[in-house]
Amino acid sequence: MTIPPTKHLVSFGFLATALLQLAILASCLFLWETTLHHGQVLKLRCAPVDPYDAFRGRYVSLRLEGQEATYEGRNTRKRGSTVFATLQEGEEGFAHFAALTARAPKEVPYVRVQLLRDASPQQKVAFRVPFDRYFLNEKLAPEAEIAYREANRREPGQGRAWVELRVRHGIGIIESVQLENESLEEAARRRGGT
Amino acid sequence: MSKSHHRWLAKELAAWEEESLITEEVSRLLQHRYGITSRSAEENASRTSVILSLFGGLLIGAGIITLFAFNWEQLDRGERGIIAFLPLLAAQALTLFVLRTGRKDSTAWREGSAAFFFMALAGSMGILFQTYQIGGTLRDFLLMWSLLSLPIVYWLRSLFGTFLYTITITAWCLLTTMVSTTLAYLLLQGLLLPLMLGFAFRKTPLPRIIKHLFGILHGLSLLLFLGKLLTLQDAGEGEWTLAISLLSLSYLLLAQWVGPTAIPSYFRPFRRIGLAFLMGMAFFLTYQNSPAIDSLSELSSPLVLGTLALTGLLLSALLARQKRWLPLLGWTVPLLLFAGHPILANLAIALIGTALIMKGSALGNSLAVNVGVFLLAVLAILRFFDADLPLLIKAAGFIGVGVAFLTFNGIRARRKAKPTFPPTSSPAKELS
Repeated sequence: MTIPPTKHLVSFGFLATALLQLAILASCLFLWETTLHHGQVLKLRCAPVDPYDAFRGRYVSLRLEGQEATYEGRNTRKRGSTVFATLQEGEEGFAHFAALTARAPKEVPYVRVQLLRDASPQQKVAFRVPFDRYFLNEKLAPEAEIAYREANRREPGQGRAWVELRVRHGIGIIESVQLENESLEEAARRRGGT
Repeated sequence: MSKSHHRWLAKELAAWEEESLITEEVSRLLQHRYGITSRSAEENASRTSVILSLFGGLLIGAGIITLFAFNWEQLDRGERGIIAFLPLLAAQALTLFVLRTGRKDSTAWREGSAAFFFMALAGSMGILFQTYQIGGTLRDFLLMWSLLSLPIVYWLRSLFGTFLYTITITAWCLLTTMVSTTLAYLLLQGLLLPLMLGFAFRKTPLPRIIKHLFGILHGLSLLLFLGKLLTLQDAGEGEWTLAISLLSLSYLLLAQWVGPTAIPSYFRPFRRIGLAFLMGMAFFLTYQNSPAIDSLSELSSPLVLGTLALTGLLLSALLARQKRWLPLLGWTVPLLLFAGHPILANLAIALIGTALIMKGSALGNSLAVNVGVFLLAVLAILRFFDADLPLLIKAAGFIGVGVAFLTFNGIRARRKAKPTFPPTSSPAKELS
């Protein structure tokens, strides 16, 4: 029995579409996996949190310290634009956001961030980082949220929680969230999460 | 009576009802007399099957999402990464199965598969994002989700897929924070256009209820987009003029596509909303040069202008196809308005008012006549206010228009009361 040519066409066309869909998702996976393998490790302190805004669903909402920096681009950028935040390692091995640039810097680690308001040159402006959630098992999450909140109830700069971030080509992926000497998961389990 | 006659009569009855020539009750009685049923048992069964397939696809997909959202921490990152692709692969396999077998002609299979695909893709993306701790924004997620799903909507020619796609891009549009990004909504909506045109001009028309849902969804989507755009733009009157015209044309286009219907009027808002917007605009433009002209450079978006032109052309094509020459002439009013001079706007309203009175009188459609008279009266009153005339003359003018209005209605009411043809036996009596 011969298969009509239109059927072949449908199959090939559809397979091309399906492969494209898979390739797009696979390229995301590849990008994130290579960042985790080859990215530079940086530690960023977490900021104190509002206890009522910290937890949404099955992830812990993270807020990092110093999520504002001076915009060093030449032209004004609108709220919502993507810019590049450079990272600089400082005291005790913790990194902080040093500046915002319109173009990707070559020498220093950086991540893509989104402006929270319009930015003029040399103006300090707040931004949003793409790594603001830490997903957890639903049974661990409630305890993890309490542990994270308690660890962060201190003055800015004194917080005991930090994220370990892998950074590569502007992509930042959280490797772990640490509370003093243990990971967030370990702290949650110690508190009774299963 | 043959099936084709049945179809012809059903169509005509719907049109007569639409034009208020007969009431809904009379239409129902005539349908009963000639054995016209609005839906056969077979159609009903098929509709149920489609609905069940849709829910099935959605529920299975939602189940998969929930299953994986559990965050199986006992699996390592690599394993979870691979598992993430399973829902997508399953949905792709199902789609291929539907396309390769005769099931592509079954609405239930097509729509059910599309629903499953949407959910499965969201599941795959969700697991990947969760595994790699990608917070990101809901906006980014929605954009990626809609764009990756679109090819499947085309492959399956799924109407429900277009619904989901429209909902997704509308939600994405509402979450945008920049004008330039918001305008990309038109581009995203445009990606659906070839498929929508296919639906509009296909040989077997879509069921009316589906057309209505389709229209309501797209109308709302467009409305939300415009609201978002204008809010971000701190819109002036020029932008509003342009936006409302665009909206009006779109509503009229949808109304024209939906066509005469037996569904109660509260379920078919497009024509009236579109016309109300257009008339409001027309009166606004009788006061000044069209601010739309000045604001074109501000909006400076070929997308907006392109959509405006395209919507107008589509509307013309639909009207010409239906050989509805008077409405075809009528919709060109926005062009007159855009020409920019108040005299043209005045002229346009006067023409519409007169045409409505004439056509309404010829068909005995009182609503059309009253709307026509109302338009002319409002126009006259507005011009009286503008004119540099003594108050007494203005007062006399107002009274004159009012009296003319009442007299006209009185004459019509008397004519209507006179029987123009001998009474026949009651349809209800005949049925019994």
